[in-house]
Amino acid sequence: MIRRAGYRLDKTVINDIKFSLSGGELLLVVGPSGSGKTTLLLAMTGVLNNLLNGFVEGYVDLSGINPLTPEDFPKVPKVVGVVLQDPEKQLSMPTPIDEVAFTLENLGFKGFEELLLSTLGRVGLLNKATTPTEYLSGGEKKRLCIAASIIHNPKLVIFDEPTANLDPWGVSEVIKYINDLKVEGRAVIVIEHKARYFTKLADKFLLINNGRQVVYLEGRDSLNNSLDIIESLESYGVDTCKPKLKSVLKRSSCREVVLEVEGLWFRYLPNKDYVLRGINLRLCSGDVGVIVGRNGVGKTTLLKVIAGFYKPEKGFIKFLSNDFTKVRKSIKGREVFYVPQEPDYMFIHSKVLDELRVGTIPLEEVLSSELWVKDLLNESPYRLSHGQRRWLAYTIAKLYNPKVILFDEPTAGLDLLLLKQYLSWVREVVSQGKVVLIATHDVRLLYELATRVFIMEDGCLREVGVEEAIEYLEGPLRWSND
Amino acid sequence: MIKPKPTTLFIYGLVITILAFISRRFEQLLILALVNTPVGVVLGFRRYSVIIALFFIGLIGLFVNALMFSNVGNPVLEFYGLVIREGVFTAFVNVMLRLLSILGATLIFITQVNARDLIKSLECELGLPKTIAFATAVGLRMLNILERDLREIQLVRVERGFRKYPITPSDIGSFLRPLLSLGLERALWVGIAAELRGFSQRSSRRVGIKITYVDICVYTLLITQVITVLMI
Amino acid sequence: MSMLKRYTALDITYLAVVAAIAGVIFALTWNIYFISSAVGGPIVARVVSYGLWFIGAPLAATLIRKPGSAFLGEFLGALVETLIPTYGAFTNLIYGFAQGLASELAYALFKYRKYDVLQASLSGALAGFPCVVLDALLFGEVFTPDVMVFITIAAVVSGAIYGVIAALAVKSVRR
Repeated sequence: MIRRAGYRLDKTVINDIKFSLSGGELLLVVGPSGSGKTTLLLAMTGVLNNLLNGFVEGYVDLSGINPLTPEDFPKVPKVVGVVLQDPEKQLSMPTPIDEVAFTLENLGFKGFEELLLSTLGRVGLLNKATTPTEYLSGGEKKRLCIAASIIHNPKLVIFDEPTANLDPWGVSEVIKYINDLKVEGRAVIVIEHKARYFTKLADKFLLINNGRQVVYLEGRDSLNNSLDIIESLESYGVDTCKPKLKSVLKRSSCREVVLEVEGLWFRYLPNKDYVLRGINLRLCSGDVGVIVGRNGVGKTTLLKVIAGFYKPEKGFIKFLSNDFTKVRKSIKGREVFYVPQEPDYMFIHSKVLDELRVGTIPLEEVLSSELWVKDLLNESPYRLSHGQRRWLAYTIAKLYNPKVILFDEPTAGLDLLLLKQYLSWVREVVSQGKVVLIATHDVRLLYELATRVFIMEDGCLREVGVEEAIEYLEGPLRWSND
Repeated sequence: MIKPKPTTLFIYGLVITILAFISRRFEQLLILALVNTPVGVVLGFRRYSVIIALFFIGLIGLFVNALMFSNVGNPVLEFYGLVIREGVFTAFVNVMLRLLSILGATLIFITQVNARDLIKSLECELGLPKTIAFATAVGLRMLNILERDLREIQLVRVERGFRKYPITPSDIGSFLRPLLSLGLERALWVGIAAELRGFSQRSSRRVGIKITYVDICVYTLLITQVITVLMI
Repeated sequence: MSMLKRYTALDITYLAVVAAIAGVIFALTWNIYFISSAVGGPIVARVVSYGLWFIGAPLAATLIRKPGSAFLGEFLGALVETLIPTYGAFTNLIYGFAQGLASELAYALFKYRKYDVLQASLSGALAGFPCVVLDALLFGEVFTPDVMVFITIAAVVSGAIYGVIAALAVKSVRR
């Protein structure tokens, strides 16, 4: 039970959280972004007060160990395994086999060759044991994190946003692994804002908002029976069930073709396979195009080729009937703007104010239309919160006044509330006549936003109806929804 | 053939480089260059031909420098009114030999050793403290990720009409900021993860130096050079 | 009071990132170095890109603010470069070691209590001295004394500038 906890003595982030968990049980912790879920993780493992100079008041018992005391804190790794949100923020060793060995070496195990191989085998990475980690795919890296977190046989395993950055196939895999851990008798905590994947597995349920415990349910049946709770969860940015398709946006007739791509073939190196094979695409003014596909299928490449960063081998790209295929990016001007997944890539200056002085729109106009920026003008863009940085990135894109805006996975990690803000931003921009093209594996974008939907597979693109795309993305998760 | 241990080659390369730095005389440098450069070039010719080529191009610049600043002594050549004196050649040859020896030793090292084995070897055999061993391993991983970040940053820079490569100090600042921001966030969580995996309790994994006959050959070669060079 | 505060896993990973960033910056500026080297030899090349080589120390120290961080920042950067490995391998290691020690001096002078822009620029500047001394050993025959003075000034000034850039960047990013 944690009475109060925070990073700085004058600022309490968490208040009054209380729960207990036994082996073989799964606790699902949900809440909107910024509600303190991750802080809870740091507080209960003792990291907050021992490593980060924060404070925790209360009482935590991890299998007989009190992680809040400096004497017991070193014992925490023996009983706990942690899988963090982003594998790139967790993996530290050159190869998978080194990574799984790391924990064992730290804890003083000896003679663990076999254990290394069997654990790697369990997550399907045995044949890549000595491949350098940077060559693994996102899903493989995630599995590696899982392997590294369970190799020392911990009693409790904590997952922080396990489905972040994973496509539906990856999510399906992770859910299976988590279920296996539960079945083995370990205690499992899953922190998520996409609760819908885990409601069937959860034995206990905790909703946090603004650092306070709002709902705490024990027992599997009570969770499924509290429908009113499920509905109110949506207001907290937590999705507990599959979104419902309320209406399919009617595709209005094409007033003018803004972006046309035909017969696009592209590969990075002449001796490798083609990444893009004969891509055709057409977007009219007011369209929101959404390209769905697995991670690594080539969606980002397609966006980058359209943006002009790479020249295609064959085919052409036209903006408003002007062929821009052979033109270099720097000369293309502001026909198209690519917004990367990571907002930090976008910033050049050290003050927000300087970032806004771009494009053709005068500064006063910008300041009057973007009111949220008022108090932040002298801040460094990097010190803004994640959400504010995204918003700044979108604003900068708008300032260049492009006809086409390309988004690469814009909704990764966004909870329902932030997602809705993004949707309304896109709708506003599109109503001004611009065209938006989004590459994503997030099924939520297909509801109430997409006017044209494409599925990308094996380097080829085909235009489909919204229902088919939804089915494509929901398919792998079928077994967990039933 | 068994390869020498990474630690052996590391020590070899380091000592040769230090020797090259402290040797001031032509005879000393000649020995170092004659021993190390051929071996290095032969080993590294295929993979590092570009670097070897660039090195020799750099020698041209070196000669130009020698011409500008060491043109003293008796004249040796006359070239369209430009008098080249012996000072130029002695200077140039000495420095060239020094650089060649270092190049040779470095090539020997980088063709035979890879990063991962070296870190392990340094930790287990030389007893490199876990702080440095871990920092280097993480550093290498971060380097790969940061290079990827760098490419993305450059794409957006071009898109926004800025230079792709930094020229002024302020440009460097604009590259540093996003790299730091992204890198530090990663470092924070990797650090937390490492701590939660028991890093603070990691004890020295020193096993002690195991030497094979190949290593002995390398060390013999090294010691011979040291003695010869210091005695001349 | 013990001067040697323990380094936590976090400090170490921060050091690692600084080392990696230093490596990335080197890679970015290598082409500038080589082009200017072919044109004007090592002298011109060094004048143009000197300060960047010392940047690991002020970056690490401004970030971590513990004794030894300047030295480790510079030395680890050099060690990572040795391991990649680049052709600078051992030379960089020696330079990094010496430069790191000199940079550390800047913070020791202030009794490890201040880690601001002033200290950062001083640490960048101080690293110039061992760098030039080593250059003298490496290229001595070609560089004459007046050239050395000129290079020393260039190194110190360049180091100071990039020390400032490093400190400002850290301030602008730290949350």
